[in-house]
Amino acid sequence: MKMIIHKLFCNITLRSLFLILGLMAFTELSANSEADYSASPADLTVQQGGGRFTLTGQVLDENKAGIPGATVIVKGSTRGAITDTDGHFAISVAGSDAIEISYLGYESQTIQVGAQTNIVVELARKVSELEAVTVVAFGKQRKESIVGAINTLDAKDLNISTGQLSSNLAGKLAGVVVMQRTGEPGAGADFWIRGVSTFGTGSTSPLILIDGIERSMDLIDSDDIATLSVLKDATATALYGVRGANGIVVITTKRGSEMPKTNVEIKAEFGMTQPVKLPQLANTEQWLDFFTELYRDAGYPNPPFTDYERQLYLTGQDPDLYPSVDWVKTMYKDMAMTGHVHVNVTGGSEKVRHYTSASYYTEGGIFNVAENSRYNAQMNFNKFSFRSNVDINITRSTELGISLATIYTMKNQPNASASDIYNYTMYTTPIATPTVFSDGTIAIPQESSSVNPYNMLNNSGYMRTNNMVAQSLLSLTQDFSEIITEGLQANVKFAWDAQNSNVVRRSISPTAYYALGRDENGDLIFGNNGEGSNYMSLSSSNSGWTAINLEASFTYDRLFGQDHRVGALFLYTLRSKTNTVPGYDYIGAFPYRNLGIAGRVTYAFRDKYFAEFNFGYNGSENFAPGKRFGFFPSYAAGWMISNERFWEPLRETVNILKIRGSYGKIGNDQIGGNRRFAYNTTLNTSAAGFTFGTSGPTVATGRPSTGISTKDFGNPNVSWEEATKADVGIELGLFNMIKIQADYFYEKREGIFIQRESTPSVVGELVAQWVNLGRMRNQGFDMSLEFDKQINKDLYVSARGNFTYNRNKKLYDDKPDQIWKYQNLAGFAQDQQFGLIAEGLFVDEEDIANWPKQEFSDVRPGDIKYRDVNGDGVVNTYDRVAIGYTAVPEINYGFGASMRWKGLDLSVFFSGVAHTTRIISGFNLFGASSNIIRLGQIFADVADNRWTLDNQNPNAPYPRLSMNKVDNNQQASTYWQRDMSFLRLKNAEIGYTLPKKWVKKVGLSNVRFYLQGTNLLTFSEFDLWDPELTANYGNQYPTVRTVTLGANIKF
Amino acid sequence: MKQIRILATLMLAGCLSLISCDSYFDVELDNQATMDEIFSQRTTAKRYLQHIYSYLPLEEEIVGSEGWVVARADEAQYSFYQWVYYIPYMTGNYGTATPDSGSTPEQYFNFWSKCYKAINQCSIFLANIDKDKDDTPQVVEYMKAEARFLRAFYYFCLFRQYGPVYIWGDRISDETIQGASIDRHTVEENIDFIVSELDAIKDILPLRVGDIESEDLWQGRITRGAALALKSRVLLYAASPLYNGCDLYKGQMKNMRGDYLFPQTPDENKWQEAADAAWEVIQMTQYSLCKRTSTSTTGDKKFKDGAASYQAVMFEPWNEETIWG
Repeated sequence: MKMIIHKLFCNITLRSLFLILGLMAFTELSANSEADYSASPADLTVQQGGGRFTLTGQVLDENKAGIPGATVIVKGSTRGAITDTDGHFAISVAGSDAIEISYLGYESQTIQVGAQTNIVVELARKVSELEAVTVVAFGKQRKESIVGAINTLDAKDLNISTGQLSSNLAGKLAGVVVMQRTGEPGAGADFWIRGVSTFGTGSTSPLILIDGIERSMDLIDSDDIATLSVLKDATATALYGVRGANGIVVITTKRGSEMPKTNVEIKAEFGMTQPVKLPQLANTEQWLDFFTELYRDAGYPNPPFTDYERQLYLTGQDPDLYPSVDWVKTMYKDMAMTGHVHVNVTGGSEKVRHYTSASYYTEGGIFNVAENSRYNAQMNFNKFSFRSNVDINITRSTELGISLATIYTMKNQPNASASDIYNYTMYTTPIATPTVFSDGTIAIPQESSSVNPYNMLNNSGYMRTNNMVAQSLLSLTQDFSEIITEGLQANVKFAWDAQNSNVVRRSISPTAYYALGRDENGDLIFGNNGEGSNYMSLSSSNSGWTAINLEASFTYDRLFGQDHRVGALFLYTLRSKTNTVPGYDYIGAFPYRNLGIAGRVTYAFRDKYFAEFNFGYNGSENFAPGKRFGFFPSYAAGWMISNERFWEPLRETVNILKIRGSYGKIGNDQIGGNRRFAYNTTLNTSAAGFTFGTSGPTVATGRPSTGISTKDFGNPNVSWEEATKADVGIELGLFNMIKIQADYFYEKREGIFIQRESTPSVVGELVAQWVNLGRMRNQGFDMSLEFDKQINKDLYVSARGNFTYNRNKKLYDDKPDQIWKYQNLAGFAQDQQFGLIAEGLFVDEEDIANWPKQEFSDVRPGDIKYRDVNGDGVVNTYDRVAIGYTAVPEINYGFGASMRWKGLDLSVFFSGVAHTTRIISGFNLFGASSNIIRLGQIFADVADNRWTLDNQNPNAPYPRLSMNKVDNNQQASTYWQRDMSFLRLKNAEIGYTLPKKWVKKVGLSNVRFYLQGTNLLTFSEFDLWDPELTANYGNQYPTVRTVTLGANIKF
Repeated sequence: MKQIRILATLMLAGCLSLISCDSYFDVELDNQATMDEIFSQRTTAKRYLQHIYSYLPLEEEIVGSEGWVVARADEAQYSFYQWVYYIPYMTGNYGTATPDSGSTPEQYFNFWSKCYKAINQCSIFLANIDKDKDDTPQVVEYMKAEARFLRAFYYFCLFRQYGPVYIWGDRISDETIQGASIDRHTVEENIDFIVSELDAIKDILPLRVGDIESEDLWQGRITRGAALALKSRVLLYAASPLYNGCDLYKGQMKNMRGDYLFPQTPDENKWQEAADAAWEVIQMTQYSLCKRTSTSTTGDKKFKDGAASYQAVMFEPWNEETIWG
């Protein structure tokens, strides 16, 4: 079967491609160069005569405003008139005449004159293509006939003021799981469709297509987006073959359409960002008390600080020798600025349509950076984006589209590693070191290799990352409706993308001093740990890639009779991505290539019964010759019950009822494994060598110091992951107001590329083999609800909500069985958390004696008590079981409402997650066991509520802390596992549109002011730091809340 | 008009010729390190050979590697911090099954995986070295003999520590094998394999390293003496009561195939075989005992001379008593 397809493919495709392009060239060159447009406005003579009278009237648009310049023609004659500035017209007609009223961009209307002498006609705007169709893989499909699981978001629901597109999608679409792991400016969010469906080192990210080309989601400016669709099941993604298994996001950018005049839109917003929640660490007094207690518990007779020293710390009289610093407040400030300006110009006639835009986005960081005239150490992000989409009708049936975009981002940040800054801000105690000495000398604690977070921020230099992306797309569409057969269209697309990034680091490491005391004059005596220098050194690195996409397709859409609607799509796609800066790895210099054909056949009978068949036959260069191509079919069917005749009486209440199901196979060729061309055996040329003879190894004597051994054995059967997906869904429309869509899905992924772990050691392999043996299952359901109602002329209300649930399970991971079966990783979710089960704290010595022995370390009252799960009388690592959930939430939901009343509009949106946990850990919770004076900071909550000898609470949320490391209390267990679910008021916006009358006087067409906020409120059980961050002890750039004020002006 | 049409179709044809099928994906991996490349050149084949030597246990290292006795005895005093990496030796927490964590001392005692990796590499070398057309056939035969010796030696190391083990024979190890389907071979099968390998190569191996390569540079490679000496040691163990039908193992320890791992009845003939093998080594003329004279003028001369000779055995590299160093 595969051989046949392969042969057919190679021959037919070439020929059909030739055919398409040939036909297009032929028709283009032989068609009339003069476009054949609709009739020019008729002449304006008004004739008087028998039986005729003057008909007056007014032509209005959808907003009840008069349309100037509309054409009124008497059908069958050359008489006509044009409406004046208020839409009034007068024309001579006979009672038997019919007049036709038309205007560019509106549906024409034909009206029988009859006995009317004055008519008011309201024209409807030409239905924008996007409303009646949904964007699907490689094209559009009528919304009614969709039988796959697809969710679409309109541009107006995207409401984005700050951050990247990925982070703003949280909760907005059913089936989408979004977690923003850091609040850094310019950072995107982790994004999955229907959760994680594969483990191993393969990619779990969905394929992102912008205008049909694989591009990055966070580069696009949100105001350029026309629609965003999420394709979730097999039918929707089958056309992408080996790239679509993790779901697909299809984004289209705005394009021009026929308009009476060119529209200009300016949108500007400015505002501020502030951290949602900063961790609260112990203040100086709490920390001194804590340390004194530790000291006492360790058995030292004297307290670590005299009362006088304690006073000095608390009052801050001598900040140089007795510092008292709140590091979180010192490193982060309350507010930063952000702004976004977007300008676009769009318009078009029948011949040419255009959309051009330019935008600038800036977000400042909330680091508390000191004044510095040499460089900027703040973390901030800037993005420029330019886009131009032009569509030209070369002939009446040929359309050429050119889409060009360039995006330039720049991120600036302090040179010290960001994670070090976050970590040490959390670790450093209030008394470790002053931020800087009062005479300006750079400060550091006394011990060697100690750090001062203030220096890491302000005195380490800066790092700048520049990213430049150029995207171009050429598309040629030829409509063969009149040349060959009705409904046939051909399209060729060619895209060329290039990205270039570079990182420039200017580092500085000045000498840092510590204070030893004061001399007779009261000046500080300094020492230092080594000389530094104030000279800024430079280092830079580069990376980049270019990608070429070529796509050629035939589409066919035709309605036969009134009953049979047939559609077909056949296309050929080719993609090549090359790394332009491969470095020393020669493998990286080979381009990544994909080649394939895909097809779709849809059939609808009377718009009641739908059937669809999709297939993809794709190949990738990563697999062995002869095994590179895979065939991925999928089938779907649907039944629109509400279009049946027997449904007529119910149609008032239930206006849409559709059930659909799909089943198919998709592949994933991003299999990971840290190596490409896995079918090739590699050798390790720096393996261990052996020294012979009496002299040392040298290359000249033929005895180099390294030997050669095999590394990875070639796996001739390496291939893609195969996902088999099934989906059942129901769509419900109630009262013409409510739309509900619900889907249940089941996916089985096989052939996951993993390292073998069950090979017996007698095989003696140096590197474990990578094979396609892993298996995983994922299932769940997602639903969405939409409510829209225009209550009266002034009031419009809408609401939306969606809910996603998914749970995955590893079926086979080739790991050998653990001694205790409940510790096997297979059978649980990917990244399932494991740990001991905690049962409170030990109350006293008797309690310890009556409990099984805990082997981690010696226990004392106040330490954590664990359950002996396997009943062997000891508590050790064999008592670890699966606890809680995973860090990727199983449940994602969102709900919101919006309302429009006269010129005022108001909307709120909440999003939340549930069924997610994290096992927290770190010095701030356990207490440090070395360098406590310098790096032993703890949370304020820990300082107040932990178990101490004075406060022996067996239910304390934190156990006994000690100067020595208590291994027993640092084990992963339910004691440290916290529920990280949260609900956020993600978005709230209030806006006011100025009345049209005022605005028209100034020559504008629409002015709207608005106030918008993101991440305004967060509700969560976990209160030490923001639960969405990826941090085990709060060590991450905080999530930010933004409030912006903006204006949207249209000309 | 016509010219434009012709030009357009020519352009199309040009574009289409760029698109082909499977060949679009072919990559040139040949000019980099592949198995054929490595084994067909002398320098790289030699480096592969060096690599299989690298698994040899360094039993002369008393402060590290397999010979690490100092932490296990009282020649030196080590500290007892709980996190130091030699703690297992001091607390006695090491054994033949202590997990191999890579760089800590357990690996020096638990060398099961290391020996099997070495054996696999030897077999791969033997399967591929015939590709070497750079060297003369005599040199290729010599390298093959070395690899066979090393493989037999690694089996011998496993045998000493773990008893009779699973023997792959001449095959490259099969990675699809299931752990549950294999079991140890008997003592006789192990000894037979090692001895047969040594017998097969002993005539190919030269008497001296200097016969094939430069003695200064390559001293330490396998010679006939080494093969014969190993054979003698192996047969000695085979003849000793522990492996020769002692009561300790009577009626016990069967492998999956139903054979008793240890010989159930003693065989006197094995002592003769051991003696014959030892005599073969003694017959070789290039080895002799180290005899040195001491330069000291005081004390017992004979004792001092003896001490000087002993010193020479330990400290003079490649002295005449060394059969294989």
